[in-house]
Amino acid sequence: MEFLLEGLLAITWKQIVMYAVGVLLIVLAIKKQYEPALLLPMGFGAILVNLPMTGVLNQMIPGSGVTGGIIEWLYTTGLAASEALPLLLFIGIGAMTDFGPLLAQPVLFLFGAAAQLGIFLVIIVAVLLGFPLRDAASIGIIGAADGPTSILVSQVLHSKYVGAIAVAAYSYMALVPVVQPLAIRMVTTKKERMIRMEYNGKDVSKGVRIAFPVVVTIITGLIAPASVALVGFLMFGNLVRECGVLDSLADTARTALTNLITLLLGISVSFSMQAEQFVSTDTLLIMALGLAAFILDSMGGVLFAKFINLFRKKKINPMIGAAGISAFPMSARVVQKMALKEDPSNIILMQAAGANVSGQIASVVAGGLVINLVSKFF
Amino acid sequence: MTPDLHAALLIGAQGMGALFIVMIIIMISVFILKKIFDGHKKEGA
Repeated sequence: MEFLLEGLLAITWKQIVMYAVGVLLIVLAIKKQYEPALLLPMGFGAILVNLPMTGVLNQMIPGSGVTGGIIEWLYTTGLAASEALPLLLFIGIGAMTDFGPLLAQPVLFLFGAAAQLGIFLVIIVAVLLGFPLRDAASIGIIGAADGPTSILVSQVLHSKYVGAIAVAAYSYMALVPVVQPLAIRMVTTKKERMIRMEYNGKDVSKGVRIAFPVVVTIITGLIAPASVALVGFLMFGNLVRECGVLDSLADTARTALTNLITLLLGISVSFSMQAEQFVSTDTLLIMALGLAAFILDSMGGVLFAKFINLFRKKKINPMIGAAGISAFPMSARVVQKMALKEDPSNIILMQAAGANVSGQIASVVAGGLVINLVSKFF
Repeated sequence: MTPDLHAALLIGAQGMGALFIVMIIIMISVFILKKIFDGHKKEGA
Protein backbone atom coordinates (compact mmCIF):
# COMPACT_ATOMS: atom_id res chain seq x y z
CA MET A 1 0.00 0.00 0.00
CA GLU A 2 3.03 2.29 -0.19
CA PHE A 3 1.75 3.76 -3.46
CA LEU A 4 -0.93 5.65 -1.45
CA LEU A 5 1.83 7.75 0.07
CA GLU A 6 3.79 8.35 -3.15
CA GLY A 7 2.07 11.64 -3.93
CA LEU A 8 2.34 12.96 -0.39
CA LEU A 9 6.03 12.12 -0.14
CA ALA A 10 6.78 13.72 -3.50
CA ILE A 11 5.43 17.19 -2.57
CA THR A 12 8.06 19.96 -2.61
CA TRP A 13 7.95 23.18 -0.59
CA LYS A 14 7.55 25.14 -3.81
CA GLN A 15 4.41 23.18 -4.63
CA ILE A 16 3.02 23.96 -1.16
CA VAL A 17 3.65 27.66 -1.89
CA MET A 18 1.68 27.24 -5.13
CA TYR A 19 -1.26 25.68 -3.26
CA ALA A 20 -1.27 28.80 -1.09
CA VAL A 21 -1.10 31.01 -4.20
CA GLY A 22 -3.97 29.04 -5.73
CA VAL A 23 -6.10 29.38 -2.60
CA LEU A 24 -5.27 33.11 -2.40
CA LEU A 25 -6.42 33.64 -6.01
CA ILE A 26 -9.65 31.73 -5.32
CA VAL A 27 -10.29 33.77 -2.16
CA LEU A 28 -9.60 37.06 -4.01
CA ALA A 29 -11.95 35.95 -6.78
CA ILE A 30 -14.80 34.96 -4.46
CA LYS A 31 -14.46 37.30 -1.47
CA LYS A 32 -13.17 40.44 -3.21
CA GLN A 33 -14.59 39.64 -6.66
CA TYR A 34 -11.24 40.58 -8.28
CA GLU A 35 -11.70 39.43 -11.91
CA PRO A 36 -13.30 36.18 -10.67
CA ALA A 37 -13.84 34.77 -14.16
CA LEU A 38 -10.07 34.55 -14.66
CA LEU A 39 -8.54 34.44 -11.20
CA LEU A 40 -10.71 31.56 -9.99
CA PRO A 41 -9.82 29.18 -12.87
CA MET A 42 -6.17 30.24 -12.59
CA GLY A 43 -6.18 29.64 -8.84
CA PHE A 44 -7.74 26.21 -9.17
CA GLY A 45 -5.45 25.41 -12.10
CA ALA A 46 -2.42 26.41 -9.99
CA ILE A 47 -3.36 23.69 -7.52
CA LEU A 48 -4.09 21.14 -10.26
CA VAL A 49 -0.78 21.51 -12.10
CA ASN A 50 1.26 21.39 -8.88
CA LEU A 51 -0.03 18.10 -7.53
CA PRO A 52 2.82 15.58 -7.68
CA MET A 53 2.60 13.32 -10.74
CA THR A 54 -0.52 15.22 -11.77
CA GLY A 55 -2.57 13.73 -14.57
CA VAL A 56 -3.40 17.16 -16.04
CA LEU A 57 0.15 17.38 -17.43
CA ASN A 58 1.85 14.97 -19.81
CA GLN A 59 3.69 12.28 -17.88
CA MET A 60 5.63 9.11 -18.40
CA ILE A 61 3.94 6.08 -16.92
CA PRO A 62 6.22 3.04 -16.71
CA GLY A 63 4.88 0.37 -19.02
CA SER A 64 2.39 2.70 -20.75
CA GLY A 65 4.66 5.41 -22.12
CA VAL A 66 3.71 9.10 -22.30
CA THR A 67 0.11 9.93 -21.45
CA GLY A 68 -1.40 13.29 -22.40
CA GLY A 69 -2.57 15.77 -19.79
CA ILE A 70 -5.59 17.97 -20.49
CA ILE A 71 -4.15 21.27 -19.20
CA GLU A 72 -0.90 20.76 -21.10
CA TRP A 73 -2.95 19.98 -24.24
CA LEU A 74 -5.13 23.08 -23.76
CA TYR A 75 -2.05 25.25 -23.27
CA THR A 76 -0.15 23.76 -26.20
CA THR A 77 -3.10 23.87 -28.59
CA GLY A 78 -4.93 26.98 -27.48
CA LEU A 79 -1.99 29.19 -26.54
CA ALA A 80 1.43 27.96 -27.63
CA ALA A 81 0.47 26.71 -31.10
CA SER A 82 -1.92 29.42 -32.25
CA GLU A 83 -2.73 31.93 -29.48
CA ALA A 84 -6.31 31.00 -30.39
CA LEU A 85 -7.83 31.48 -26.93
CA PRO A 86 -6.86 35.14 -26.31
CA LEU A 87 -7.58 36.00 -29.95
CA LEU A 88 -11.05 34.46 -29.89
CA LEU A 89 -11.74 36.37 -26.68
CA PHE A 90 -11.17 39.58 -28.62
CA ILE A 91 -14.17 38.78 -30.85
CA GLY A 92 -16.32 38.82 -27.72
CA ILE A 93 -14.69 42.01 -26.42
CA GLY A 94 -15.30 43.69 -29.79
CA ALA A 95 -18.93 42.60 -29.71
CA MET A 96 -19.28 44.11 -26.24
CA THR A 97 -17.62 47.45 -26.98
CA ASP A 98 -19.55 50.55 -27.97
CA PHE A 99 -17.09 52.87 -29.69
CA GLY A 100 -19.79 55.58 -29.90
CA PRO A 101 -18.36 57.96 -27.25
CA LEU A 102 -14.95 57.76 -28.97
CA LEU A 103 -16.31 58.24 -32.49
CA ALA A 104 -18.26 61.25 -31.25
CA GLN A 105 -15.00 62.87 -30.00
CA PRO A 106 -12.15 61.49 -32.15
CA VAL A 107 -9.55 63.64 -30.38
CA LEU A 108 -9.79 61.14 -27.51
CA PHE A 109 -7.81 58.66 -29.66
CA LEU A 110 -4.68 60.52 -28.53
CA PHE A 111 -5.30 59.68 -24.87
CA GLY A 112 -5.35 55.97 -25.64
CA ALA A 113 -1.84 56.32 -27.06
CA ALA A 114 -0.52 58.48 -24.21
CA ALA A 115 -1.74 56.08 -21.55
CA GLN A 116 0.50 53.29 -22.88
CA LEU A 117 3.65 55.14 -21.78
CA GLY A 118 4.19 52.78 -18.84
CA ILE A 119 4.57 49.79 -21.18
CA PHE A 120 7.61 51.24 -22.91
CA LEU A 121 9.21 52.73 -19.78
CA VAL A 122 8.91 49.45 -17.89
CA ILE A 123 10.48 47.49 -20.77
CA ILE A 124 13.58 49.66 -20.28
CA VAL A 125 13.51 49.30 -16.48
CA ALA A 126 13.06 45.51 -16.72
CA VAL A 127 16.13 45.25 -18.98
CA LEU A 128 18.09 47.38 -16.50
CA LEU A 129 17.07 44.91 -13.78
CA GLY A 130 18.57 42.06 -15.81
CA PHE A 131 15.57 40.53 -17.60
CA PRO A 132 16.28 39.34 -21.15
CA LEU A 133 14.65 41.55 -23.81
CA ARG A 134 11.79 39.17 -24.71
CA ASP A 135 10.84 38.78 -21.03
CA ALA A 136 11.21 42.52 -20.37
CA ALA A 137 8.89 43.30 -23.29
CA SER A 138 6.34 40.81 -22.01
CA ILE A 139 6.49 42.33 -18.52
CA GLY A 140 6.01 45.83 -19.92
CA ILE A 141 2.79 44.74 -21.62
CA ILE A 142 1.19 44.21 -18.19
CA GLY A 143 0.80 47.99 -18.34
CA ALA A 144 -1.63 47.56 -21.24
CA ALA A 145 -4.17 46.69 -18.52
CA ASP A 146 -5.43 44.10 -20.94
CA GLY A 147 -5.18 40.47 -19.82
CA PRO A 148 -5.59 38.72 -23.21
CA THR A 149 -3.01 41.05 -24.84
CA SER A 150 -0.53 40.37 -22.00
CA ILE A 151 -0.96 36.61 -22.39
CA LEU A 152 -0.70 36.75 -26.16
CA VAL A 153 2.41 38.96 -26.30
CA SER A 154 4.26 36.94 -23.66
CA GLN A 155 3.29 33.75 -25.49
CA VAL A 156 4.37 34.99 -28.93
CA LEU A 157 7.69 36.21 -27.50
CA HIS A 158 8.21 32.84 -25.77
CA SER A 159 8.60 34.42 -22.36
CA LYS A 160 9.06 31.93 -19.54
CA TYR A 161 6.95 34.13 -17.25
CA VAL A 162 3.51 33.77 -18.92
CA GLY A 163 1.88 32.62 -15.67
CA ALA A 164 3.27 35.42 -13.51
CA ILE A 165 2.46 38.01 -16.20
CA ALA A 166 -1.15 36.78 -16.48
CA VAL A 167 -1.62 36.84 -12.71
CA ALA A 168 -0.15 40.37 -12.51
CA ALA A 169 -2.21 41.66 -15.46
CA TYR A 170 -5.53 40.40 -14.15
CA SER A 171 -4.79 41.34 -10.53
CA TYR A 172 -4.01 44.95 -11.43
CA MET A 173 -7.00 45.15 -13.77
CA ALA A 174 -9.10 44.24 -10.76
CA LEU A 175 -7.27 46.81 -8.63
CA VAL A 176 -7.96 49.77 -10.96
CA PRO A 177 -10.26 51.41 -8.36
CA VAL A 178 -7.41 51.32 -5.82
CA VAL A 179 -4.36 52.03 -8.00
CA GLN A 180 -5.65 54.72 -10.35
CA PRO A 181 -6.91 57.27 -7.80
CA LEU A 182 -3.48 57.19 -6.11
CA ALA A 183 -1.66 57.67 -9.43
CA ILE A 184 -4.00 60.46 -10.56
CA ARG A 185 -3.72 62.36 -7.28
CA MET A 186 0.07 62.27 -7.49
CA VAL A 187 0.06 64.35 -10.69
CA THR A 188 -3.05 66.54 -10.42
CA THR A 189 -4.27 69.37 -8.21
CA LYS A 190 -7.78 69.62 -6.77
CA LYS A 191 -8.43 72.55 -9.12
CA GLU A 192 -7.49 70.43 -12.14
CA ARG A 193 -9.70 67.57 -10.99
CA MET A 194 -12.62 70.00 -10.80
CA ILE A 195 -12.37 71.12 -14.44
CA ARG A 196 -15.73 70.80 -16.18
CA MET A 197 -16.04 69.65 -19.76
CA GLU A 198 -18.88 70.11 -22.19
CA TYR A 199 -20.02 66.97 -23.94
CA ASN A 200 -20.95 67.84 -27.48
CA GLY A 201 -20.96 64.31 -28.84
CA LYS A 202 -23.64 64.01 -31.44
CA ASP A 203 -25.16 60.71 -32.41
CA VAL A 204 -22.76 58.75 -34.58
CA SER A 205 -24.35 57.48 -37.79
CA LYS A 206 -24.68 53.80 -38.60
CA GLY A 207 -22.39 54.22 -41.63
CA VAL A 208 -19.51 55.50 -39.48
CA ARG A 209 -20.01 52.74 -36.93
CA ILE A 210 -19.90 50.05 -39.65
CA ALA A 211 -16.99 51.56 -41.61
CA PHE A 212 -14.89 52.18 -38.49
CA PRO A 213 -13.86 48.56 -37.71
CA VAL A 214 -13.02 47.90 -41.37
CA VAL A 215 -10.92 51.07 -41.70
CA VAL A 216 -9.08 50.52 -38.40
CA THR A 217 -8.22 46.94 -39.41
CA ILE A 218 -6.82 48.07 -42.76
CA ILE A 219 -4.81 50.95 -41.23
CA THR A 220 -3.26 48.88 -38.45
CA GLY A 221 -2.72 45.97 -40.83
CA LEU A 222 -0.74 48.15 -43.18
CA ILE A 223 1.24 50.08 -40.56
CA ALA A 224 1.70 47.50 -37.80
CA PRO A 225 1.08 44.07 -39.38
CA ALA A 226 1.99 42.20 -36.19
CA SER A 227 -0.99 43.75 -34.44
CA VAL A 228 -3.51 42.79 -37.11
CA ALA A 229 -4.56 39.53 -35.48
CA LEU A 230 -5.34 41.35 -32.23
CA VAL A 231 -6.94 44.41 -33.77
CA GLY A 232 -8.61 42.40 -36.54
CA PHE A 233 -10.42 40.06 -34.15
CA LEU A 234 -11.42 42.97 -31.90
CA MET A 235 -12.79 44.86 -34.89
CA PHE A 236 -14.43 41.75 -36.37
CA GLY A 237 -16.42 41.37 -33.16
CA ASN A 238 -17.34 45.05 -33.32
CA LEU A 239 -18.44 44.79 -36.95
CA VAL A 240 -20.70 41.86 -36.06
CA ARG A 241 -22.18 44.06 -33.31
CA GLU A 242 -22.68 47.16 -35.44
CA CYS A 243 -23.78 45.67 -38.78
CA GLY A 244 -27.34 45.26 -37.56
CA VAL A 245 -28.03 41.98 -39.35
CA LEU A 246 -26.16 39.59 -37.04
CA ASP A 247 -27.73 40.33 -33.68
CA SER A 248 -27.87 36.68 -32.75
CA LEU A 249 -24.16 36.15 -33.54
CA ALA A 250 -23.22 39.36 -31.71
CA ASP A 251 -25.15 38.15 -28.69
CA THR A 252 -23.42 34.76 -28.83
CA ALA A 253 -19.99 36.43 -29.15
CA ARG A 254 -20.47 38.67 -26.10
CA THR A 255 -22.03 35.96 -23.91
CA ALA A 256 -21.51 32.28 -24.78
CA LEU A 257 -18.21 32.63 -26.69
CA THR A 258 -16.69 35.02 -24.15
CA ASN A 259 -17.75 32.85 -21.21
CA LEU A 260 -16.47 29.66 -22.80
CA ILE A 261 -13.10 31.11 -23.77
CA THR A 262 -12.67 32.84 -20.41
CA LEU A 263 -13.36 29.56 -18.64
CA LEU A 264 -10.71 27.73 -20.68
CA LEU A 265 -8.18 30.58 -20.83
CA GLY A 266 -7.71 30.81 -17.06
CA ILE A 267 -7.19 27.12 -16.56
CA SER A 268 -4.95 26.86 -19.65
CA VAL A 269 -2.68 29.66 -18.41
CA SER A 270 -2.26 27.79 -15.13
CA PHE A 271 0.04 25.41 -17.05
CA SER A 272 2.70 28.10 -16.74
CA MET A 273 2.18 28.29 -12.98
CA GLN A 274 4.18 25.19 -12.19
CA ALA A 275 6.12 25.63 -8.97
CA GLU A 276 9.60 25.27 -10.43
CA GLN A 277 9.04 28.24 -12.76
CA PHE A 278 6.66 30.33 -10.69
CA VAL A 279 8.16 30.32 -7.19
CA SER A 280 11.09 32.69 -7.61
CA THR A 281 12.11 36.23 -6.78
CA ASP A 282 11.54 37.02 -10.47
CA THR A 283 7.78 36.58 -9.93
CA LEU A 284 7.81 39.20 -7.16
CA LEU A 285 9.84 41.53 -9.39
CA ILE A 286 7.34 41.01 -12.22
CA MET A 287 4.44 41.89 -9.90
CA ALA A 288 6.27 45.08 -8.84
CA LEU A 289 7.16 46.03 -12.42
CA GLY A 290 3.59 45.38 -13.55
CA LEU A 291 2.31 47.73 -10.85
CA ALA A 292 4.85 50.35 -11.94
CA ALA A 293 3.70 50.00 -15.57
CA PHE A 294 0.11 50.47 -14.50
CA ILE A 295 0.87 53.60 -12.46
CA LEU A 296 3.09 55.09 -15.17
CA ASP A 297 0.36 54.49 -17.76
CA SER A 298 -2.15 56.41 -15.68
CA MET A 299 0.34 59.21 -15.05
CA GLY A 300 1.32 59.30 -18.73
CA GLY A 301 -2.29 59.86 -19.75
CA VAL A 302 -2.82 62.60 -17.16
CA LEU A 303 0.42 64.41 -18.01
CA PHE A 304 -0.43 64.29 -21.73
CA ALA A 305 -3.80 65.91 -21.00
CA LYS A 306 -2.03 68.61 -18.99
CA PHE A 307 0.35 69.16 -21.90
CA ILE A 308 -2.59 69.51 -24.32
CA ASN A 309 -4.15 72.04 -21.91
CA LEU A 310 -1.17 74.34 -22.43
CA PHE A 311 -2.49 75.01 -25.94
CA ARG A 312 -6.25 75.02 -25.34
CA LYS A 313 -8.64 77.72 -24.18
CA LYS A 314 -11.25 75.18 -23.09
CA LYS A 315 -9.32 73.03 -20.65
CA ILE A 316 -9.59 69.26 -20.50
CA ASN A 317 -10.02 67.60 -17.13
CA PRO A 318 -6.63 65.80 -17.00
CA MET A 319 -8.14 62.81 -15.25
CA ILE A 320 -9.60 61.88 -18.66
CA GLY A 321 -6.04 60.97 -19.68
CA ALA A 322 -5.83 58.26 -17.03
CA ALA A 323 -8.94 56.63 -18.51
CA GLY A 324 -6.88 55.96 -21.63
CA ILE A 325 -5.85 52.57 -20.26
CA SER A 326 -7.65 49.48 -21.53
CA ALA A 327 -9.49 48.44 -18.36
CA PHE A 328 -13.02 49.16 -19.57
CA PRO A 329 -15.35 50.37 -18.12
CA MET A 330 -13.69 50.40 -14.70
CA SER A 331 -11.24 53.17 -15.47
CA ALA A 332 -13.92 55.52 -16.83
CA ARG A 333 -16.03 54.88 -13.74
CA VAL A 334 -13.09 55.57 -11.42
CA VAL A 335 -12.42 58.91 -13.15
CA GLN A 336 -16.10 59.89 -12.98
CA LYS A 337 -16.23 58.95 -9.31
CA MET A 338 -13.16 61.09 -8.58
CA ALA A 339 -14.70 64.02 -10.48
CA LEU A 340 -17.92 63.72 -8.46
CA LYS A 341 -15.94 63.59 -5.24
CA GLU A 342 -14.37 66.98 -6.01
CA ASP A 343 -17.56 68.49 -7.46
CA PRO A 344 -20.85 66.57 -7.03
CA SER A 345 -22.30 68.02 -10.26
CA ASN A 346 -19.32 67.45 -12.58
CA ILE A 347 -20.19 64.82 -15.22
CA ILE A 348 -17.27 63.70 -17.41
CA LEU A 349 -18.30 60.09 -17.89
CA MET A 350 -18.77 60.21 -21.66
CA GLN A 351 -15.34 61.76 -22.24
CA ALA A 352 -13.77 59.21 -19.89
CA ALA A 353 -15.60 56.36 -21.63
CA GLY A 354 -14.33 57.62 -25.01
CA ALA A 355 -10.74 57.70 -23.76
CA ASN A 356 -11.25 54.28 -22.20
CA VAL A 357 -12.35 52.55 -25.44
CA SER A 358 -9.53 54.36 -27.20
CA GLY A 359 -7.25 52.61 -24.70
CA GLN A 360 -8.66 49.27 -25.80
CA ILE A 361 -7.55 49.92 -29.37
CA ALA A 362 -4.22 51.48 -28.33
CA SER A 363 -3.32 48.58 -26.03
CA VAL A 364 -3.73 45.96 -28.76
CA VAL A 365 -1.85 48.14 -31.26
CA ALA A 366 0.91 48.59 -28.65
CA GLY A 367 1.01 44.80 -28.17
CA GLY A 368 1.46 44.29 -31.90
CA LEU A 369 4.13 46.98 -32.09
CA VAL A 370 6.08 45.43 -29.22
CA ILE A 371 6.00 42.00 -30.94
CA ASN A 372 7.07 43.63 -34.19
CA LEU A 373 9.91 45.67 -32.68
CA VAL A 374 11.27 42.95 -30.38
CA SER A 375 11.37 40.42 -33.23
CA LYS A 376 13.68 42.77 -35.14
CA PHE A 377 16.37 42.23 -32.52
CA PHE A 378 16.53 38.44 -32.87
CA MET B 1 25.39 49.94 -22.75
CA THR B 2 24.34 46.32 -23.29
CA PRO B 3 22.72 45.25 -26.58
CA ASP B 4 19.46 44.52 -24.73
CA LEU B 5 19.40 47.99 -23.16
CA HIS B 6 20.12 49.57 -26.52
CA ALA B 7 17.26 47.55 -28.03
CA ALA B 8 14.90 48.43 -25.15
CA LEU B 9 15.61 52.15 -25.56
CA LEU B 10 14.94 51.89 -29.29
CA ILE B 11 11.74 49.91 -28.70
CA GLY B 12 10.61 52.51 -26.16
CA ALA B 13 11.17 55.47 -28.45
CA GLN B 14 10.00 53.84 -31.70
CA GLY B 15 7.08 52.02 -30.06
CA MET B 16 5.64 55.13 -28.43
CA GLY B 17 6.19 57.17 -31.59
CA ALA B 18 4.63 54.54 -33.84
CA LEU B 19 1.67 54.16 -31.49
CA PHE B 20 0.93 57.89 -31.66
CA ILE B 21 1.25 57.82 -35.46
CA VAL B 22 -1.19 54.89 -35.77
CA MET B 23 -3.71 56.51 -33.41
CA ILE B 24 -3.44 59.89 -35.19
CA ILE B 25 -4.05 58.21 -38.57
CA ILE B 26 -7.08 56.39 -37.14
CA MET B 27 -8.33 59.70 -35.69
CA ILE B 28 -8.00 61.45 -39.04
CA SER B 29 -9.74 58.59 -40.81
CA VAL B 30 -12.66 58.88 -38.36
CA PHE B 31 -12.93 62.60 -39.15
CA ILE B 32 -13.02 61.68 -42.86
CA LEU B 33 -15.62 58.94 -42.28
CA LYS B 34 -17.80 61.40 -40.38
CA LYS B 35 -17.46 63.88 -43.22
CA ILE B 36 -18.46 61.21 -45.75
CA PHE B 37 -21.37 59.71 -43.81
CA ASP B 38 -22.62 62.65 -41.76
CA GLY B 39 -21.43 65.69 -43.71
CA HIS B 40 -24.37 65.82 -46.13
CA LYS B 41 -26.86 65.44 -43.27
CA LYS B 42 -25.68 68.71 -41.73
CA GLU B 43 -26.03 70.49 -45.05
CA GLY B 44 -29.56 69.15 -45.47
CA ALA B 45 -30.59 69.97 -41.91
